[in-house]
Amino acid sequence: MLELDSVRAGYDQIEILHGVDLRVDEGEIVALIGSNGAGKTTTMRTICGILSPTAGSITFRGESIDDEPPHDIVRRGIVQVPEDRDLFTDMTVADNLLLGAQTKTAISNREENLTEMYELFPRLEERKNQRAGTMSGGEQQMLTLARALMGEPDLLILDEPSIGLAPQLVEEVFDVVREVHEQGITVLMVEQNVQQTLRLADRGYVMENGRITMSATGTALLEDDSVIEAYLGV
Amino acid sequence: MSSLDTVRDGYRSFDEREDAPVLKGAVGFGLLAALPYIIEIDVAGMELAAALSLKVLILTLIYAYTAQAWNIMSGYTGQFSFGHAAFFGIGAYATQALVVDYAINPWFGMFVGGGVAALYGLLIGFLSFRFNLRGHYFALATLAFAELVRFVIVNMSELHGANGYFKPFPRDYDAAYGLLAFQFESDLPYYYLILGFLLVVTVVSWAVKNSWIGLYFFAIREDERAASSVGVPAFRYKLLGIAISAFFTALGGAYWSMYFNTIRPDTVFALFKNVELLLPAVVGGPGTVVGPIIGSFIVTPMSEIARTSFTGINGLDRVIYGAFLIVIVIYSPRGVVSWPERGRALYRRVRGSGGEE
Repeated sequence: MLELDSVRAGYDQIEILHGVDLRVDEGEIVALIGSNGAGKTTTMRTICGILSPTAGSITFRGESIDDEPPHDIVRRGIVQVPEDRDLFTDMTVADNLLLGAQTKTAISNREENLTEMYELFPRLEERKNQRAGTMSGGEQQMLTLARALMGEPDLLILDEPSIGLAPQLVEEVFDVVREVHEQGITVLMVEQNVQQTLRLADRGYVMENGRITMSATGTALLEDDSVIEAYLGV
Repeated sequence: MSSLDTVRDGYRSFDEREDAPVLKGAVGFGLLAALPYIIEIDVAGMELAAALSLKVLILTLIYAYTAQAWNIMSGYTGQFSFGHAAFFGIGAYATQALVVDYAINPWFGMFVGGGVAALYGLLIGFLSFRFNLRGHYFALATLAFAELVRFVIVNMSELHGANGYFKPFPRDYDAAYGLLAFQFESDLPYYYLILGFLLVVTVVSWAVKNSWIGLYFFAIREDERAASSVGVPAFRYKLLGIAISAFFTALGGAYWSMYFNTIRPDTVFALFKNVELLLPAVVGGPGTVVGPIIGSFIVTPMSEIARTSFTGINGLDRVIYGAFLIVIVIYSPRGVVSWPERGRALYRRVRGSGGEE
């Protein structure tokens, strides 16, 4: 479904990704783990078109998306939940959700999807006329997730969805990811909760210094000694 | 429950009605329609008309109109234009050039001006947005584009250079005084005509704000990068904003040229015109639909009163007017329309109850 072939990318003159190969198949949950500064967020941004690769290729369903602007990539069905949330804090919760619907079908289904999101996240319905910036961090994270789902993505990209959240909210985020996946949405996620993520993921990649250093099934990675030592802190 | 609460509840239930905006608009515009008569009512030997003439009211509505047009772009999308005189002047010049030199009806010329201004807006937008000009830099670029038109026209004898145009008589283009000729023999019809213009642009502004387009505009205003990463084609929508805004601003310029007797590059393209056109929106409340109208009723009469009251020292009126504006802009960046809400917040804080905030 999504394929990165020796992708190089970075900011200005500084190259961060030195040739990343990564693949996501339809229906999978794929995890990307690695230490801070390994290039995980840069990888996500490059896929979403916020950065463009300087070399290598990115294809989605066989078509190249290297040079497309972010808004066209969204229209192809790749929706991102960015690490910094990117909410419109001065706009209402409902308006934020409506902005998530961008493709033709998502726009025509937006009323039903809105109802569905309010069922999935009842807190958002209570606060629908409130400004997004006035909500707690956990609620904002839920809103970001819900906004992404309003776009009816085929591939949902999550960058640290549980960052800075209280443990029970982390649990909630993982529940949502599981539920979303059961509805047939493919997921690519970056997470710091390595153990939980690998247990959920079909496959995982380990990233170090801008390269993929290991790739295996989630359970295999969980049992790998170097992964245990580096990321599970045992 | 105090009677004040009853009123408040009554208003709240009215506010929730689906047709509330239409009813409010009808009341507001009804009031504006009655205004020329209201100012002549004699209260204890004084009438408002002494300070507020029909001419000032017309000027007030012209600037309410242009501020509303400016607001659709700059208030909604946050791309602050400081060069709307370009569009205003193009509207005025297209109308006059066609009616004076070719005896073409001013209504037609007005729409030609609107089209040319929209194209010029697209050019400005295309160049500025392509190269990611933002904030102050974008504002300065728009100002430069406005000055550019002024200099070009001053040096074009085909457009009468610095002398500008004298408005012709209706018979010069085979018309009689009346709506069709865009000329009247008294001020009152002019007042209702600009009121009609204001109504149209306000309805457009309201419709844009409550549509899909408005949602995109406000998302761009708040965080353009975030907007494009959720999928808003920001570049295209910023161009749409500037085109709509330029078109309507030009119609205002056309009206101006048919109301006053002359236009010159240093009147319709004046540096200060850029300020006058947008000021009511900034004072009233940028990004709101009523802000530009309320703002104009503060700014325009203020400016006229300052001009007629301080005739002794040259320029003193501008100083006083300027000081007044600085105070408003510093203490109320969200405009006059935010005052009731701020008042309520203050009241709640003084009373010590949290309210539903």
